[in-house]
Amino acid sequence: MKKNILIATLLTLVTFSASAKEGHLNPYWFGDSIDKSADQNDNLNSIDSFLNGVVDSTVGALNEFDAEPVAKATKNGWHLAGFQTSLGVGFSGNIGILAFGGTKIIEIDWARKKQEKKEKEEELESSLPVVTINENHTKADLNKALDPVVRQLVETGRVKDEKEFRKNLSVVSNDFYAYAKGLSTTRSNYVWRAGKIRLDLNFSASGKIATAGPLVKLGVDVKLRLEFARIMAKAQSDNKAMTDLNAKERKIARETRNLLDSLSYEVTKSYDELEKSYNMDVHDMSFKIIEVALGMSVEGSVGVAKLKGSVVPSVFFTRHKLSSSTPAVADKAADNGTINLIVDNSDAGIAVDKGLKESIFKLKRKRIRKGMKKAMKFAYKFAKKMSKKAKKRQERMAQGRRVKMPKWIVKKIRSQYKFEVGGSIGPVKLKAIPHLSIYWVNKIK
Amino acid sequence: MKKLILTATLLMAFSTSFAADYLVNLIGLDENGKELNIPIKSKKWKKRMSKVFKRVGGDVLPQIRSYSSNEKFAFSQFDLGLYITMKFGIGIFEESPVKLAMKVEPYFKLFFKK
Repeated sequence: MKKNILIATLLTLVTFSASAKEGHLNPYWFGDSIDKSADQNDNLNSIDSFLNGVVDSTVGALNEFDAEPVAKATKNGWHLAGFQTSLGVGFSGNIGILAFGGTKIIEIDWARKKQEKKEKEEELESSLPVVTINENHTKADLNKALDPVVRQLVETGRVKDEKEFRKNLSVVSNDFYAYAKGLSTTRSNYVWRAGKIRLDLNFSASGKIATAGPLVKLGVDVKLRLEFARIMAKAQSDNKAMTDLNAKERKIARETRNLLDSLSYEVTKSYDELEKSYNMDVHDMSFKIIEVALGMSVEGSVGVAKLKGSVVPSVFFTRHKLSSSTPAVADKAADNGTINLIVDNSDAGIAVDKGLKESIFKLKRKRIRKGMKKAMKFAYKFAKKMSKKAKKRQERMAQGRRVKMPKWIVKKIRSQYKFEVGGSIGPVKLKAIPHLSIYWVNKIK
Repeated sequence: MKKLILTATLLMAFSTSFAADYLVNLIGLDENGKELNIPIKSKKWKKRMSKVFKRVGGDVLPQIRSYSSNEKFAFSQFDLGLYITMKFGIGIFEESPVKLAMKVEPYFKLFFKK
């Protein structure tokens, strides 16, 4: 009898201690440690109940809507196709649905399982006015493409001060073009390569650039997206690519090229190491994209910046097939090298050193790789857990009700991370602005 | 032995009954940058979302269908970003029993397609 009471007490204690940090991400994810002894803390079980709640409430509400007469497909086929919600993490690691101001750590896109065609990974994104260029376009071509957009925005009254708008747009589009030329001249052959640069611009009606922060809601009047998509496998030569750049823009282009080459190596190396520990194809989600923000210091040096959503362009790395011409992942400079992190005055908490004076902080590449691997591991575990829960929930519903249920699945998960000055990378908390995003996309067939 | 099984069964049943309605935390920063947490049961949250879907979907879908039948509007996707404003009352805040009702504005996006 005593034995039974002891076992029951132990069971209760285990239950109690396991739920002590319920709803909180383990501090392991925010620290520098990545050693194996931490494995018991990295399973995300502490947020199981919260995720169950998110899945149950979202799928339940979507299914209920599907039962409504208005949701039934009509002749012209319009229907609710997707839903997006965001999660945030508090200062002590507690996770929640983002309901006030603050930075999101995770963005979850839901979609119906049965898709007519295999969609592009970004199809669920907002349909902004987009101006896209590639290696064949010159600066003049970019300006030519922007002109009708500007005229339309002025004619429709969404921009009141045309002169101010054109002036500001010209500054950011010239810098954007220089970053793009950096990408077009990057010779990197690593498996993960930068293929696209994007700049989402937000303008106020007075023609000024509006920047979003953790406490600012983006309710600006004008949004515009500039994109450079690389279409050629072979890098352009400097002579060809940089003819229409001034000295400052050439510097941006060259530094962008060096940065992208280093990041390409670090992403490839981190992914390779992660792949050795985990089977990346084990669940429905597929690791598709890494997004990194690019920025410029006061002196014009290029580095990793904050993903502010305006003025700061993002570069997207995607995975290419390994071919015989792809070199083995080995970069002698990597272990002792550094990567620039752009810091600004708002980072007042950082100890002053020569890096801060230049608005640049030199991050050790070894530590970046370690942090990046951890970020990938977090993204992998979260995506796997979330996708499994959504799938199981649908299966349970279908079995229990014995009816054919519409199936909502997690279509895309975007998780965001922040570089610490020490070089480690952690999931972003409410007040911080991320530097890096990792995307997982469902392999809908 | 029977007692042990009974104890374990009771413990499991106890935890399962809780698991049926999970807590989903609403989180964010207030205007002063202070963290706010509001715990809410998943069933209640589902009810609120369901209400929004019905309301918004009910209002928006007929409009899109009607615009779409007009040839001048040739679009294939309609994205709707929205804040849901909700008021929460006394005693539900995690950190302090705030006296006034608090406005909560979770941001969602709905995608309508052809």
